[in-house]
Amino acid sequence: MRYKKTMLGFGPLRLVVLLKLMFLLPMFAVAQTGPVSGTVLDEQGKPIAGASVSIRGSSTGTITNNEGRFNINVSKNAVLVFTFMGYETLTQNVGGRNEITVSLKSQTTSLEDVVVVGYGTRSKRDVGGAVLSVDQKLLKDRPVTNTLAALQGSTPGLVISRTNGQPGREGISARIRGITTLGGQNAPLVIIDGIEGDINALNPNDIQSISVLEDAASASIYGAKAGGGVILITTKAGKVNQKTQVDLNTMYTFRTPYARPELISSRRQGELQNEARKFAGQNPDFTDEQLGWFDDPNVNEVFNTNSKAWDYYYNYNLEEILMRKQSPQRAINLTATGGGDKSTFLFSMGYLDQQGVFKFGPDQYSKFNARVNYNTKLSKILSFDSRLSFARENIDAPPVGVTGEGLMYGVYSIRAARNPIFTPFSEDKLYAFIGTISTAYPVLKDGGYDMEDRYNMNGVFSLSAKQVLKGLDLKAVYSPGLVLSNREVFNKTVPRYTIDANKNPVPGSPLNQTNSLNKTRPFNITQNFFATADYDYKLKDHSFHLLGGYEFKSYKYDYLQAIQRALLLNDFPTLNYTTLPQADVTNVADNIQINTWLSYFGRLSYNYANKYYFEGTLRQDGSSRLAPGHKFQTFYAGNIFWRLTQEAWFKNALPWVDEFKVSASYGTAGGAQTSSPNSNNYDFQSPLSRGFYPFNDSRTAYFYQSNLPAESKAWEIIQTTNVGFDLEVIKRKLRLHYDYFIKKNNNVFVGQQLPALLGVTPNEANLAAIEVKGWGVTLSWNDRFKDGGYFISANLSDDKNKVVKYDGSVTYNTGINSAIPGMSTNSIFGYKADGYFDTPDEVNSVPRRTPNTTVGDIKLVDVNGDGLINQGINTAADHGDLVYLGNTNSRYVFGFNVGANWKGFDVSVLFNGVGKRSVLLEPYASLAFYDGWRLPWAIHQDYWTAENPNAKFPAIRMSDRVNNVESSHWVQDASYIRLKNLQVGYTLQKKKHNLKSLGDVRIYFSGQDMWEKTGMWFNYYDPENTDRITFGYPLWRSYAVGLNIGF
Amino acid sequence: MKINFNKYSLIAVAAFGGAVLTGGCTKMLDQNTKTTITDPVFWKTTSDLISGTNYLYASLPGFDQPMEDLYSDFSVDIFGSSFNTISDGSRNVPSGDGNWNGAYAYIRAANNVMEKANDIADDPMKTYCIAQARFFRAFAYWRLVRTYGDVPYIGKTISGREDEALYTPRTDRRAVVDSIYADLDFAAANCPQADQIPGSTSTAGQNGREYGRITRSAALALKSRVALYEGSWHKYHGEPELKGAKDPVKHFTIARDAAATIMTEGKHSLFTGSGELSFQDLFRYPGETYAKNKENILAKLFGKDIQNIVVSNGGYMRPNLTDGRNAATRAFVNLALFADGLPSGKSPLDSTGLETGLLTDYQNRDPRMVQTLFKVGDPYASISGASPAYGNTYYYHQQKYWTGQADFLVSPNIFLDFIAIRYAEVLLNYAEAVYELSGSISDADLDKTINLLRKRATNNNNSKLALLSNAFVSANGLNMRDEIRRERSIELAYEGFRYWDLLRWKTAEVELPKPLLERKYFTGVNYGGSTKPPMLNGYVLLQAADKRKFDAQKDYLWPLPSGQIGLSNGTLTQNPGWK
Repeated sequence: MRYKKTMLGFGPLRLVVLLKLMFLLPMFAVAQTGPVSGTVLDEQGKPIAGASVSIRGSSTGTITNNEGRFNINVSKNAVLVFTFMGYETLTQNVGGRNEITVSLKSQTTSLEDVVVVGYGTRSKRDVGGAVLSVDQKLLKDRPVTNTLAALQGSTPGLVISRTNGQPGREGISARIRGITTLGGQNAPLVIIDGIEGDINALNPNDIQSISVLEDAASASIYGAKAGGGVILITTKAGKVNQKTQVDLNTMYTFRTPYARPELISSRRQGELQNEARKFAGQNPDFTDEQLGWFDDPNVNEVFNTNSKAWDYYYNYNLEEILMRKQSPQRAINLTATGGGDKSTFLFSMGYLDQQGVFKFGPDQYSKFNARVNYNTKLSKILSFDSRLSFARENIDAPPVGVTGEGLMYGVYSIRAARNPIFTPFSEDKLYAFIGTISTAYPVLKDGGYDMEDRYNMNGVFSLSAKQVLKGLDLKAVYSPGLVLSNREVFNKTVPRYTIDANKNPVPGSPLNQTNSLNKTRPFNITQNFFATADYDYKLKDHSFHLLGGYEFKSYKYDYLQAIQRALLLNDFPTLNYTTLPQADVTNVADNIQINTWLSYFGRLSYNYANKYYFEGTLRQDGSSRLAPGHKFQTFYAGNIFWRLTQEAWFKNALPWVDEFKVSASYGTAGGAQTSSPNSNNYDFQSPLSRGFYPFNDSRTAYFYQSNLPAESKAWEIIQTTNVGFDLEVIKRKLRLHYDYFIKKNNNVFVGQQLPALLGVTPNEANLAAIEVKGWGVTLSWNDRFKDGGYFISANLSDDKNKVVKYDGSVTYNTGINSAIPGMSTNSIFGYKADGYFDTPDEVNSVPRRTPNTTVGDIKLVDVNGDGLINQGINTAADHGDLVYLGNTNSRYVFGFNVGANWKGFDVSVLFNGVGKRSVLLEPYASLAFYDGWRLPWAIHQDYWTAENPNAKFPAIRMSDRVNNVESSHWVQDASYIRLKNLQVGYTLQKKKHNLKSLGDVRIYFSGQDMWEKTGMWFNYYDPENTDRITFGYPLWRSYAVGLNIGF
Repeated sequence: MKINFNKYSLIAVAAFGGAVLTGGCTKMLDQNTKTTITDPVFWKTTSDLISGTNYLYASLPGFDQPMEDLYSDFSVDIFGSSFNTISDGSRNVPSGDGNWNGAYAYIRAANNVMEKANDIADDPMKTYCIAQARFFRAFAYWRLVRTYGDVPYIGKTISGREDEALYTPRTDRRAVVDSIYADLDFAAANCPQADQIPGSTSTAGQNGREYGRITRSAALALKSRVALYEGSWHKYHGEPELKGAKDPVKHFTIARDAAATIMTEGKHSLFTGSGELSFQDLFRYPGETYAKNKENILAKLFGKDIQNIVVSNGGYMRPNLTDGRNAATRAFVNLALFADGLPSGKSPLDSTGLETGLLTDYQNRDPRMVQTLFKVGDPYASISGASPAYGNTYYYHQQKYWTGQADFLVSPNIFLDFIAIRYAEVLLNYAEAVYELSGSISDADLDKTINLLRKRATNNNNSKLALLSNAFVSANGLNMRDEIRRERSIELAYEGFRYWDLLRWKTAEVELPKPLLERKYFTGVNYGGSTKPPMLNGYVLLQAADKRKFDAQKDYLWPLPSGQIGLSNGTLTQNPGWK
């Protein structure tokens, strides 16, 4: 088709050129250099304007004009290099020609042509089943610190969630196709360049491609740890005979915190406190005069003539005092790639730093990455590949935890507004001590730090032999990985003062009475070796590919901790000096965790005429993490697929279908071994716990058994059945991928409930079975128009799990229930709320859970009608009035991505979200006055009164112990849609700026998390937060501008 | 080409094959913990057995025990402004209960010590370890029986989910109590006397024989405590909380005899080392250790200082005493005698309703009441700063276990020991058991029990508190049983006895539904800007009678945690009345 069109469209021109050529040929035969002209076309035969044409090995080059034409002086043996953004680089030997027409392949298509699979690569057409490639566009120019964060919304079945926005401790986790275990992490296995790796330490800019293996057919080759799916990442490399290309990317980001409580004035807090007292039948805390003092900037402290102490009437907003309105984030990346005849290289460096939300104090994160990928051919057969990476991460955090009852609680909730930060009359030099006072200010400013440096060094060294015998390739890979951490927590003594009647400072309780320095040095080394043999055999239409391999892996974690207390100097943190006469035996500790793995694997791939495909996988894994006698397990998978478009009858019937492939697979993979390698290595042994009792005023150790050993800990075996299809129509512009799957884990390793008469925590055992059913669909449309193109891509997936068996005793409790047969994991149970009690008659007419329930309280429903509101005996047969209130698992996870580019301008929008999810608020932390010192927020002003019967909150009451029970009132609809990323950019092409040394220059705006809509009515937390979130570090909206320069 | 082919292929195949062979060693998969002690490597020597026994001391009550007065009419949380749901009768059946789980955890640990001792060579220390284990097993069962009545009796370590003992039904409390007696008899016979154990912090004890360990008197004292409870239970209770035959005499006799043995053996005496302030100092640093204070029979130890924290006592003082989470009520004040030995309503010194100021309450009163409460003008330390004196308030803050120093202001922890058993209780047990056995008590017995306590309280000055005698009781129309009970309630207030005493006397149904009152309110007094509180008959009202109830058909026993009933395969049944 295309050839014909070319002939028709350019025939006359060609004829002229040919005539010219014939005429000029003798001259050129002797000339060393001469002009060559030509045309650069795209796949549709349309001319490409602004494509770069350069001579390899020299700095000479030119740019095509609007008709795609170029002229250049070259020697007849020169090699021309054609590059254009979005297209594959093409090289052509001039070979004496003086008219060259080339057509460039668009890059998106070509990248997808090769798909990375377990221990190899495949042409896309030879892949059937749930191997999903992540679109490269999604990783580009995103103001995120972590690759996983960029993958949110990218791939059906891959669910990424975050818990908070603390620099370096964002708590990002990934899960593929739902939950198949209980208690374990169920995290996907991440393979970087063939070796299990740490995705957090990876520079997103170094990534060439990401494949997500979701079904057993593709993941099973990784056996042991693949039960949670596999994320395969390949880093970039140079190309053979590629001119050295240098890219400098810089990005500057403003980040503004969101998802945090709105604070109210001291006076308003005081008024609500009086209301809360009144409702509880107590006397109000503040007179009108005192409330007035809160508003009066001239009255901050009043001497109480009875208690002979000062009362305080400040009006502070700690959010404003301590937290930034915006925080900067900077990133810079430098990449150089290139290659000669035999070797290729990539060198990259990246640096990122990030300021946290606090105006002062330790709250930063920085990361430095460097990578060298070098590949060289040793001979026709042998080649050597080495990939060396280094990452240094630094987290500088406050010395106390930020979430839960930590620092954020001190900012948001404890009596911060009404009390002074500094001792009055001390000219802001001395910190105030007033009982339940927020410590957030002094902790941040002077309380010390929690500093962590992590160095991650990794090498992947491969020696490959191609075509050792005809069809046989061999490969041996050794990969050492080293992670060194250095964490220092310094809790500094901060003196605090109160004042006496004469306004003189009096020492009060300091922060950290005994200062301490806690240094930890975890060190872990991973060694991984594998060797594979690949054998290709073709007999007419029968293609065989056989893979065999062996893998050995060892992991060692060695943790050393040293603590010194009562340091001699309060601002000289070292372990060397202490005022303590005797060292504390708990000051030093170690923890060694070792696990080893041994595996054999093989895979047979067969196809007939690229039409019918069969693949079988077998893997045997042994792991030290399992109990003696249970260490080895064999995993297997089978996959068949059929490319209908290869059938003549199909082609004839539906010629507009470019590709139609149906596949079915079944296989097994191992699970439960993906929990942290630093723990659960010795579950089958029976550890003793230690404590101390102060006989003789000294540490007298005691030992006791705190849990039973899991003596029969065996493999979790995850069976996956997958059916799916791929459809590509309208010249492959419209693509559809669909999968349906059923996963089963019949051997879930789980904790069990036994009667407390046991006297010890029961052992975990392989007692449960979980089944997950789900599907995922991706639909995309790509097209080009004059000077540009556009794309639309959408994905949606869902999975629903069910505990189908649990051999332990089942209990139903309020809150999250994970192991109830017939129910999904993470099912929320609680009482059913039915509005509020509006009248005393209403209160008396129905059963109440507690006799203290009154008007204004949440009305709980007597579901089983027994005249009581209780939880029965927590069994399936009798769980009283506890009902299912939702599930915290994410359902209907989607991503939607639209973009276009035209004449150097580009714009793209990515939305992501969750269609169905519930979370339970922590009831006590959501009430206004669960304790007298937990102060209310703006949202708490909407409480029940006779005039406001449809309030968000029940009647406001001091020490509310009625409404703090888990009920549907506190369950939130955490479904959401979020504008994940918006990018607008302009690429100044080389031809336009005409600066010799410079290539393309792109300038862009990239906004992350700029908007969302959620079903949560308690809108101080983000819907991605985990269940029972209390006081979280806020998340961020990011607004980035960036500049990418090519050289 | 062909030569290269073979050479490289040979090298590559050799490398590949070699790797398979060297890695084939499956021994590499046998990994064991290198940094955690496991069961099989432990329990080899007597020293290991001591370490195992030491764990049981973690089960001793600490400052959680005085908080149990919140269940009663004596104590209220005026800081958190929440009312105890056991005290006001509003609690629900819990799904889980740490009292239940904790007791069985220590029972297992005690059984484990006894079982592991089987493989260790006999020596006196081994026997002492077993004796301590039996003491703690008895202690755990005692707390279970007192709380829940009949409870499953587990006499061995349960192996796991296949073990049928997991589904042991509730054992009659009589059988459980008999096993407690047997354990305590063994402990009494095999534990050293108090003076055989080094008694002060300056004299280090030998490993396994330090101050704070179980002595013969501790075993006997606990036995008298258990037996007194059981005696009262049999005497005063019936269905639904106690079914079947009753034998109060058996238990009262055991209570009396165990107490008498301690009294006769003479290893203990009341603390008088601080003269008039002895009762107060008993609970402060001067009262620590046996060397300084022979009244201590068993103490929960809390180490030395902040820089050498071994076990934190959690800072009982500030939140509970000065902030008032465990503050006194009018009920306590009303119960205390006047100096003439007569109670409110009988004494001419009675100031009830006639108070003219915040100090009236403290005039002419039992010195123990005065020393148990803070009073206006006392040295004090407040959460809101370094106020030198206790100011005007309409609450009664109590100060038992207040160190007398503002040490919590410069340190988040105090390191005062908690006295788990003291000799005064033994004397009170004796007096009550004697009286309950015969309906009377001789003046001689009063003199060697209650009057000793009164003399200590007044530093032998009878004008501060008259002594008790049969003649005094009859002359003033008093009831001896009430006076014995009053003595116990005042002496042991805020040490965790009151609620359980109300249960065993079966008077909880009378006392607990009464309104919770605090001080009389004075309009002219400067309360520091606070607004006027709700009141009843001139007294500050914390909780009105209509919010308090005690259901005699159910509240004498606690509900079993519903989750445990659910897990029991139907073998556990709920206590009567609880739903």
